[in-house]
Amino acid sequence: MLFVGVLIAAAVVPQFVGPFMLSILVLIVIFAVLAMSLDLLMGYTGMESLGQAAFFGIAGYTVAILTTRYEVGWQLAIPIALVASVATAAIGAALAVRLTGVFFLVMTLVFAQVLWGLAENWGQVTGGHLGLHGITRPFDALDTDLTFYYVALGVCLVSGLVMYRLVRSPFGLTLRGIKDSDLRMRTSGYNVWLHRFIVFVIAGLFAGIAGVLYTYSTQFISPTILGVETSFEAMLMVIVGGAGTLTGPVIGAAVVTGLRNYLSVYLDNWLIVLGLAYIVTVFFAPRGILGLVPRRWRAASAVGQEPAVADPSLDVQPSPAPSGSMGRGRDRSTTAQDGQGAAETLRLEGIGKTFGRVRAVHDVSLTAFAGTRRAILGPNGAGKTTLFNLITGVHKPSHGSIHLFGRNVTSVPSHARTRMGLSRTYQITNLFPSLTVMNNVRLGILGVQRQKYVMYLPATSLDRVTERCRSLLEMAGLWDERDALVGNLSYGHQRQLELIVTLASDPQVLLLDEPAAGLSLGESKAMVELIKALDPHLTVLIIEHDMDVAFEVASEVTVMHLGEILAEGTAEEIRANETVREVYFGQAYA
Amino acid sequence: MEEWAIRILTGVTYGGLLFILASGFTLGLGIMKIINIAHGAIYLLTAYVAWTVFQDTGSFLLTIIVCCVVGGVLALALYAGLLQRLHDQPLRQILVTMGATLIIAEFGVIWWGGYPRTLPPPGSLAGAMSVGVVSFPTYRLFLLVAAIVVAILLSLLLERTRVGALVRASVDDEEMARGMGVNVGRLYLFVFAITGVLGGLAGGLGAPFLGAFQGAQFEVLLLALLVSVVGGLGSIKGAFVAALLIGVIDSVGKSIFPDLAYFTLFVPLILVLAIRPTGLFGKA
Repeated sequence: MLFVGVLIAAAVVPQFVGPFMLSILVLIVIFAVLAMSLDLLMGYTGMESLGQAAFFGIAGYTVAILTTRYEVGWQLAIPIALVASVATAAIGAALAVRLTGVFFLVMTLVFAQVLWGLAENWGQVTGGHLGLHGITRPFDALDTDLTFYYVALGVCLVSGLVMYRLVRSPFGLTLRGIKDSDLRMRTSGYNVWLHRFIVFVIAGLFAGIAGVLYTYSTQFISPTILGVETSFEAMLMVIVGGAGTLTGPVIGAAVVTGLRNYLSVYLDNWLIVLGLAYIVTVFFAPRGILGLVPRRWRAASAVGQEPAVADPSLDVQPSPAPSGSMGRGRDRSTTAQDGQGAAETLRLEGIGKTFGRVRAVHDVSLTAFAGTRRAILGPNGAGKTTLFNLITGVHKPSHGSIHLFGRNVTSVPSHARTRMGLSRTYQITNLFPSLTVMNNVRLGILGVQRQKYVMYLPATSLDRVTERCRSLLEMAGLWDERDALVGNLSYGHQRQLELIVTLASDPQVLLLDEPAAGLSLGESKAMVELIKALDPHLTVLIIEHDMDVAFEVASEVTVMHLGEILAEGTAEEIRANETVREVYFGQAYA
Repeated sequence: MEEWAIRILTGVTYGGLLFILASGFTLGLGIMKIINIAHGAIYLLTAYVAWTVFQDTGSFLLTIIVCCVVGGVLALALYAGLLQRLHDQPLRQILVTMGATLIIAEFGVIWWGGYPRTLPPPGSLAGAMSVGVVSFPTYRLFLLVAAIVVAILLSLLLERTRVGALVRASVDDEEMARGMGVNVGRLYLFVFAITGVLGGLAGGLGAPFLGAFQGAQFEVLLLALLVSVVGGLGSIKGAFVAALLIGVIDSVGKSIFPDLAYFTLFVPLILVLAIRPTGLFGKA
């Protein structure tokens, strides 16, 4: 309702305002597009970029240069400008995307500055410090500012709608997953670098669209547009309005642009006010204006609302063995087999990892087959979790090799291993706290699906995925909590969900890192039941400190100590082993 | 041969200036993990101050001292007023210090107008002296010497003094340091004030070279960022090496490819980031 009201206002109000106000409104609309593009990066993917001005400016300059110096018509100038901003964004992404946090921030800043320098110093082409004037608008009709406003508004609306669809699509969901837990995404099968690259380029494209509008609007361009201040202002707009909402940045654009243009007329030193605006926003409205609005007034958050289940009497049988139901092809070369003819799934040969002077894991060898249930035990610091990190590719081994289904995966990245059929849970719950339970499972499923790249359909419309979510959640009794934000779930439910999300990627080799950690007796029992109900063909390696859980689930045991394997055997053998007792159980445990 | 000597000297002495400009910023980043965008603004303000003080007193020594004090006070104000509550929140630090930059720069306009001010190198340091076979501006050589002195003093402060060890420990594990009776708040104030003093020093020493002008707040910031990123965010040693490297590549590049003047500054950045994304001496 609010949206419709604003839309009507945006369409009607300009008819009644003077030319100065109108020019401000046009700028607001243009910067709204720029701010939304930054929100895609910042608010949804967690990539805080100070470089959007680069793509804004490159498109603007391309239009300006082509139009004034080479007299190229707008039909060519605009597409070329957009291609320029996409190409520049691709280069920027190649340089910056593998960086995170402060490094990423600084890199994007410096990137924009280099382009600023280009504009400032390459006078022949760009007009240097004074910029370029007299850029003619595409149609004579557009010379009327009011007409131009409506065109700009139209472009803004279309851009907004496209971005809106994008954030609600499966791809959009993956972005939010990356923001919450980059690591979890990688080990769920997502090529996180690629997703970041793609969204960076898309954001660059929209920034370019805004840049083209800007140049035609002001009919003038100068290096300031590529400067630090523009990038910072875009960020201010996103934060003032409210990141991660798409509507927030539009509000932010209105506030900041209005402030800047209105104030600068009345106050000589209005920059002080702008400076204060930055400070005030950070301390008093960190979530922006939208963050101050009570929750129930806000539109349903992105992919939050689930469609009602069509037939409530439809009793979907909980499938205890989620395997191969999504028909995903898997690379399985001929492998060794164990005594009962089960295929080898995982083999470690002399694996080791040293961090500086600390030898976390040393010379560990292990072979597992389909159906293996092996517990990895050992005191804290034995190297168990590091071992899992090595197997999943989170760390690169200092020596040794890892083989999955007979294939050497030692240098294969985490997400590729997951797609081959490897999956893990984390000792410290690693889920997506700002997303619903349902979406967490969705991400688990999509990790190994091509559909994760779909950008035009809502994520909720993938019926097969939704059905699978349902069967997985019902297995753990979490279906009723599907719309709850994971951050609000109880610890026990989170641990269960952790397992479900891991199972969602349909693994053949499952690594469980202390699944019962912190659970009460009852909850542990439920967890054990869940694990025991798993497909008997799965290979399961489980790290546990809770002996009851470990021996219930596993038939074979490996004990680690100080990074090496201390003993191996059946549960009874290990229980009886003197050395193991001394090192681990202590004299009291019989 | 002489040409090359001049090129190298120009580069190395420019590198000296770059290090001095960047040192405060790198210290704040390396020790306290604070990104002070207003670092360039501190340069701007203190460079204007240098112009005023030198005009009125003619004493370069006094000018430098006043600049250092002003820089220190400014940094203290920034920390106590804004940054103290924003530890470990880089984005907020950046936004808040950006706001401060705008405000400080605007005061520069209010008090000194929008015009650039330049300062001639003070008497004894003006002119040129002979270095081997060539004649080279004395002030530039002075900058190099100053840079070396600052680098040595800084590393001594951090590595060899008790204060330095306490600071490093506090940043590593603040709770633990507090538990051991370290007055962490006061320590942080002290360190951040030093970053301001360094910023002021940059303003005082840099004014005869770069001048004081609107726009310096971003240009100096960019240089500081460049040096820090290439050297490795947070490494003083890295910043020193990076500054010299950038200075030399810039100088040599400019003289061979004058058309690409602005970009020669960024060549080291691109090279380093392509090979070692965390910078020359950076920790991952």
